[in-house]
Amino acid sequence: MKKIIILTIILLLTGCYNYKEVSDLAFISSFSIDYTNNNEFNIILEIKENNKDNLFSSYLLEGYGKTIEAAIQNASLSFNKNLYFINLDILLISSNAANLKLNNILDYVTRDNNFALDFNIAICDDSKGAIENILKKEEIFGRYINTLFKNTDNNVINIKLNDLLNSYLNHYYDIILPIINLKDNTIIIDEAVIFKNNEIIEHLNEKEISIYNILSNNLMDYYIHLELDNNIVFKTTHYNTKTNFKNNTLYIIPTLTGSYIEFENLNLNNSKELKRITEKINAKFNNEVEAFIDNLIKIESDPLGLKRYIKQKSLHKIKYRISTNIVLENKSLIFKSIGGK
Amino acid sequence: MKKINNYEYNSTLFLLARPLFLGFGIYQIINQIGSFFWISIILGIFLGLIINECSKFLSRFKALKIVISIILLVYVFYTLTSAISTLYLNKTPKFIILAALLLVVIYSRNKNKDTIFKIANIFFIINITLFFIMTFSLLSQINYQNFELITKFSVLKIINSSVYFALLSTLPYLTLPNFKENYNYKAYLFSSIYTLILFTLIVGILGIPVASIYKYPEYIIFKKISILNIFENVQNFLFISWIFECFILLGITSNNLSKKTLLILLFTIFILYTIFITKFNILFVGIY
Repeated sequence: MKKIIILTIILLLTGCYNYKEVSDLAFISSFSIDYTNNNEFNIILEIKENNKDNLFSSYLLEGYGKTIEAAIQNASLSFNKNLYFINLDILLISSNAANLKLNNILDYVTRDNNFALDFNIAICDDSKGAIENILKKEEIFGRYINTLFKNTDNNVINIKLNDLLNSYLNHYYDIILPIINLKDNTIIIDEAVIFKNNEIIEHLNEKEISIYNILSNNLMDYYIHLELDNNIVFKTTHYNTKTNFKNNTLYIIPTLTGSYIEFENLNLNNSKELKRITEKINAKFNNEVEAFIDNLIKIESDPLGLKRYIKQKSLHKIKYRISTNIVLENKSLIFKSIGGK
Repeated sequence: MKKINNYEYNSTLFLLARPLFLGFGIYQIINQIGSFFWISIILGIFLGLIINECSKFLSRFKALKIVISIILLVYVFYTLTSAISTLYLNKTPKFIILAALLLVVIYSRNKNKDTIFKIANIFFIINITLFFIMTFSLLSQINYQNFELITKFSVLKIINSSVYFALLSTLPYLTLPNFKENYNYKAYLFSSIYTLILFTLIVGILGIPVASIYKYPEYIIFKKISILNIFENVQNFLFISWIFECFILLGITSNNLSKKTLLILLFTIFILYTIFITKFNILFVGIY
């Protein structure tokens, strides 16, 4: 009798019943959500091949539905595998879906334990074109985009689900998301959008993204191009921004540490000239940061979370002072500049 | 009952201070007090040490021990079934999960208490190993900005949360045999510091707004673990430490009841849960 009970328990409670092989699972790498003018969700799923010989190939499923779940069901109608989002690399949301249905989307991907927590989120209005563009190169789109986000040479906004949820749920922050563009058959992430009251309000260009990354201490490389009589490029190796609120004024103090990597007709051994140039670079950078903060105050959107310092719900009439600081360090291999005076 | 050595007893003390935090415990404290969680927990630890001294006296009352054992059995069955159903076996009906747990408890009741203490010693070693793996792989994920004080300071809420922490961490000790003779405050302190570190990791990684929406933030942070970019998605494996702690509590509490009482209780739990378990949250807690 004991043996029969043990055998029954083993067969019923150890996964022998109703088990699934790994090959029965469809691992999703990219998930794109659009909200159409017909008030329907249009979703695209990029599924990684479960095939040893085809490690870098994937295929797409597309579906429509009144809800996200209905659209996924519609996409997988003739599909014989279980969809598995635990290895999701990127979630692409169209501008329309972000403006109208961001709360639905966030709730859906957060509620289900089948989803990962560490995937990137970006705005993309031509996700099908973008994914197919990468598929043609026999690469997996999600994995490819992941490498773009990880590369600190690209000044991108790197937002993962946890960051987005934090901005969405924290009333001191407004959302910021990168945009994936398809330009001349190439994928580039050179723009971002910021939200106000959960609607897209402004686009940021590459320079503004760099300033955002510096002010929020996101580790990315930053280049300052100074167009004087001699083209000078200052490249940061690291930076740190301190922010504090004293005497009713917000002090923002970014410190950039780096070196000159490219210039014309500049003698780096002339300390006076070096100081003059550095002061100019500092002033230029200071102006750029000021313009950036002025714009945020004008549109009353706060992706930097400055409201948490002033403990107010609006940036309106905020007093602030920017004090940038450039620290030079020499990491070059040569003492003198080639061709320099 | 064979002699239980100090290591085994201390391991059990360590493990029993944590299972009641599974599910509602962590959720409640973070929701209630947010950024000031650490003040509540430190106060709660001191309060817990005082309660434990009182428990030395209270543990003499057998009736109290039985009542608390029944309450904890019912509560742990409910939380553990819900956790397994939500995190592991999403498509399995809850009563099947519960049935499996009931069988484990019946089996452990057939063994002596010293078997539970010996198992606790093994589970303690596994849990500590998993804890170090977890802590070292998650330290780099902490964002210090998440510790900024974004919730309002409220003395009442801090006291409330610290009492809650103290009760959740000390209540299981009342079910232990020979508590007065074998209690070691260091084991409780060690276990509470472990819980404090866990709270710090949760808040540091997720932030208060995100941590306060999840039912199991202690599981969600495990999703962030990536060891050398090779070992990922190990959350289901690491979460097993919570299940071990619950098993020890179930084993200890079930041993306080006679076999007949236990069978009647388990049968009643099974019937009631089968009917009400899916409606329990909405009916009694008001949370979907």
